[in-house]
Amino acid sequence: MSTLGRDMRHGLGIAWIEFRRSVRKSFGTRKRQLTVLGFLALFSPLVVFWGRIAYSAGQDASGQGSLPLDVLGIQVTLLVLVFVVMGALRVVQQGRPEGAELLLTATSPRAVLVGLAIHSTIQLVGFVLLPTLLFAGGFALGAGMPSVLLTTVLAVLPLFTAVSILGTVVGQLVVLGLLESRVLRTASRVLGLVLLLVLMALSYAAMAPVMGVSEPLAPLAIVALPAIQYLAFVFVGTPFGPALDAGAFLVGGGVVASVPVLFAVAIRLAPRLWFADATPAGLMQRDTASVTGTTLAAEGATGRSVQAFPPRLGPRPLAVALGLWIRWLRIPVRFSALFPLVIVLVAALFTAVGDPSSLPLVVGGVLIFAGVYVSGAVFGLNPLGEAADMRIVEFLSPTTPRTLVIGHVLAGLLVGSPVGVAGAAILAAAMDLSAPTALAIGILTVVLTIASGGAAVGIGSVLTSTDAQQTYRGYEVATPSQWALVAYMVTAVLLVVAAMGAVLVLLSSDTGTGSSLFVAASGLAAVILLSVGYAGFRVAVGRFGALPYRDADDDGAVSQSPGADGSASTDTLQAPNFTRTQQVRGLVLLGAFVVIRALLARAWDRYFPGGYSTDPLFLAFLGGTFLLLSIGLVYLGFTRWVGVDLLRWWFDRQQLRGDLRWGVAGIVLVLAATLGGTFFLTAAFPGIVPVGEAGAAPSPTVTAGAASGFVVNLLLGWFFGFAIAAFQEETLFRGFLQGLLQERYGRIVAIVGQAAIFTLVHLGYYPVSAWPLLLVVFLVGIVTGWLVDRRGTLLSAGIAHGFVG
Amino acid sequence: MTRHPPPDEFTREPDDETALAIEARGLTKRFGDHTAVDHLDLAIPQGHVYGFLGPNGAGKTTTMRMLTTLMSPTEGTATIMGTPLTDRESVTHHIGYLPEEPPLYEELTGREQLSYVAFLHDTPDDAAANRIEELLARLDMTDDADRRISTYSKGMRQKIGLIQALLHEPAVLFLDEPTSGLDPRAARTVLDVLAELVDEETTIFLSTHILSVVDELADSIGVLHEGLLVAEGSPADLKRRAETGEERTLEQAFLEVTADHEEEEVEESAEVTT
Repeated sequence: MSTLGRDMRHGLGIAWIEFRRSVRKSFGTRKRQLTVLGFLALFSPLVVFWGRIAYSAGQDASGQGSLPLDVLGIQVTLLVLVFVVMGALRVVQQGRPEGAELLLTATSPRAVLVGLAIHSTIQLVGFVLLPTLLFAGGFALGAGMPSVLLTTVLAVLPLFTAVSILGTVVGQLVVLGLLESRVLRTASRVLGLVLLLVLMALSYAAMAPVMGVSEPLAPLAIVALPAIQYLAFVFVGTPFGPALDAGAFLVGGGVVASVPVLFAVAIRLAPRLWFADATPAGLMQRDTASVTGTTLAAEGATGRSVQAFPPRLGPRPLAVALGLWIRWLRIPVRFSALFPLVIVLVAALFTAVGDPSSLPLVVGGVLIFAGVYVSGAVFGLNPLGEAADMRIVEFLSPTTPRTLVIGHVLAGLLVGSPVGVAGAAILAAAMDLSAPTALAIGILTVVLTIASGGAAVGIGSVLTSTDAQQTYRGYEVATPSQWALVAYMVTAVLLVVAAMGAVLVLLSSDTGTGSSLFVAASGLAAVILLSVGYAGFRVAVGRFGALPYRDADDDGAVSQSPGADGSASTDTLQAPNFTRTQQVRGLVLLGAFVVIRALLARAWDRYFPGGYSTDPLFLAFLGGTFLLLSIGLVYLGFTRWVGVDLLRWWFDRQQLRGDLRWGVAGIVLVLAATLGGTFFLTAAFPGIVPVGEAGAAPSPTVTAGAASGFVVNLLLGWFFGFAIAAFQEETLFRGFLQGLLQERYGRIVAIVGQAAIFTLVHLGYYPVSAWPLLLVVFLVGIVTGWLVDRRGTLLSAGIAHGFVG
Repeated sequence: MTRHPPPDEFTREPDDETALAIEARGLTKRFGDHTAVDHLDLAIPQGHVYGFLGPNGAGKTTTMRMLTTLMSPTEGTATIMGTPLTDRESVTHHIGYLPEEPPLYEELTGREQLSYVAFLHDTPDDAAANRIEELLARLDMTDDADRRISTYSKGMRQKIGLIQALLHEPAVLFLDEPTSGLDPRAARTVLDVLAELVDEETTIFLSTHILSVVDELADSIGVLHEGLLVAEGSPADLKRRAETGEERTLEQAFLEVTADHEEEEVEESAEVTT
């Protein structure tokens, strides 16, 4: 029996090393850490939201003295199912464990399996523990029964240990099946993707009750009986759970006992898989070896078929698009970027089930969104990562970046546009619209898909990901980065909401479709959408045309003529070159600025609701703000701590006059953007009244009645505008942030990105009801960003901003 | 980037009959504080085979990436067939590049991959088909060309990579370790094809560790060490340099010149023999 002891020892050692490796992989590099932090920040509102729900559920439960156990049981059952399937999929995908050659020749398969099983169990339990703590903790607090947290954790541990090992065993059985049966292998090509989609739908269904939707799940109550019994352990000591009876102990005992049993099964199965003659992936590739090329095979003189790839149909971009489709269909995992679509579909399904009369509308809307999303998500979100080394071949060929990018966009549109238009037709029929209106909506949908495709390829080219993902067929596929997915989802939602919202508003405002307002508004919407798409397209073309082996030390984002002096400099804004330290410090200052300003805005609202005045306290407040932020944070911070020459950023003696003139021009532009934007928005959305621009950058509105009060207001407003708002914001956003983004992503992305972040930051200043103003802020950000890009100094932007600000 | 007009037939017209195939002046690449390639000068005539040797990390791949326009030099200039590197549209017409890992799409068959590269180079379909079949036959790949590249051995990938670099009949071929990992038969096939190409006036810039390949094929050799060209000459010249004074092997000469000295002066006598 000493071999068992030795194997356990080895297994524990293997588990420990695997744990350390996965920690390093997840948090090892700076980039990874930032990604994790970014996601935490992004989803922290959700965490708070769910915590609140759990809390109120707890309060409800303690008030009513009971819980909807059947729903909870169903959720637990679904989650168990999901995790078992996921565990199985992971085993199927992995084939032999990483480092199999080392592990399996150094120690026994039993030790290896023990190690891997322990590691994946820890991963699963750890993964599940966080939301468990969140929900159980919230619930326990709400119900006033803290013991629930402890009992939940104690109940989760054995359950998910069993789930983890069960997943492994199921996966092993599937692999064995794949090894034996060719039919299964052929079926698995499609099955894998279907399974993935089903998994996602199940996960959504499991979480739906959290959002209050639980009726569609009722039929599953029977299957959930064991889970409901198990809940007795979770709620022991509280009035909520079922009684701790024989049934509960049976289930609990079953869960605990299953662990060693499943373990033994897994140990028996492991060698059969790991020492098999072939892997399923290898077998599958040999199965398909005789199934070769696809279309347009021409018989050559020798009788050999010469397959043209891509199919030489139509113009070159179309050929590129068709080639992409062929390649994607051979590795269906590439379509997994459509996963968020499943969420939308299932949500829509739930809605339609609840209200059958809305079905056509829901279908129409879903199809429109699906069309828009597919247009970009499938081919656009990681075009350079997918090309991988082939990028070199494409780069060295006469085929232009334009052709390749158009091909990527076209590939998405080939499916996305028809689907979107179909949805528009259904929607139009459901809403009983006249033919011209329906046509307009159809055209708008097509425009939307084009915009979406362009935006996607722009986002995907910038946020390239080369992390290769091993698929179960042995191919290495580079899936889109999480950031690209998120950025695109947000963009797609915004595009659809904005366009459809505008259309619906116009429709409901009873103006005839022939009216000039409708035509003008549709035209404007189309122009804006197309320019978004075009901007993305241009960014992508720039990326495709950039040198494949460009490193951070190369000045600028594109190739340079040899002989250029490579000296680093943060003195000018044309080509700033921040060192790592400067980047970090600048970002710290930016973050501090945002927080302090938000606090000051709150203080302003509370203590000086009257706006500008000559109240000495108010003046002291202004002065303090000036000292703290302008002098302290921005000026001293950037000149001393970050180490840039702020004076050079703002003033260039040679172009002083030009800058002043452009500053005046900028005033006009900013005024136009501000007034035009406000006017358009209040006209289009009359329900939204910009409630007082209280905050850090108020307009010089008259709040005091007297004329002298007006002058005071104006002067103070200008002082504040220039010395405080403009100076700080131009330096931080246009000077630092835009320069930082420009270094890494080019000029267009820098201008738009900085304006977007500028807008997000202003979320803290304006009350939510004034949200259209954020659009104005965005436009101002774009105008000032463009001014800085054009002039190379901050002066003109500062003048424009300060005057109007 | 406007399109370079594709050739009507597969005849290569060098811009200048007397132009050097590869000329580099002061080619330098710095990554931060680290100098990967230090003022490299090259003058390689047409139809020449230039063996580029050096220890790992010497800067050979970086040099190749610069010469194929994939990476911009920090300083210095270079021309290929008389066309400067900055004119990428024209210069890439002359270049065929086979990196150490051949760039391939795993999910395509060999023929589809080659057809795609022909498409990228905008060659007419029938001319492309003939060229593909001819090259497949030359490299013994005709039977395997209809299988997915994911099923290919290393040698087969290398062959497809070489074919796709040759599809547009480049005047200058850049090869990074073309025979490493190949079995003797496959290596022999590749070397024979390279020799035939040389007979057809193709210039070959070849980076490798395998000294026997260089010995057999190269007209001249350059040895790169820590970014500097420490030796240059014909294989015979370099062998004679070995300090024992007798005719020694290339390996000894290599080891000597790449030993860790403070400075290595490039021998005046070791010029490229034309």
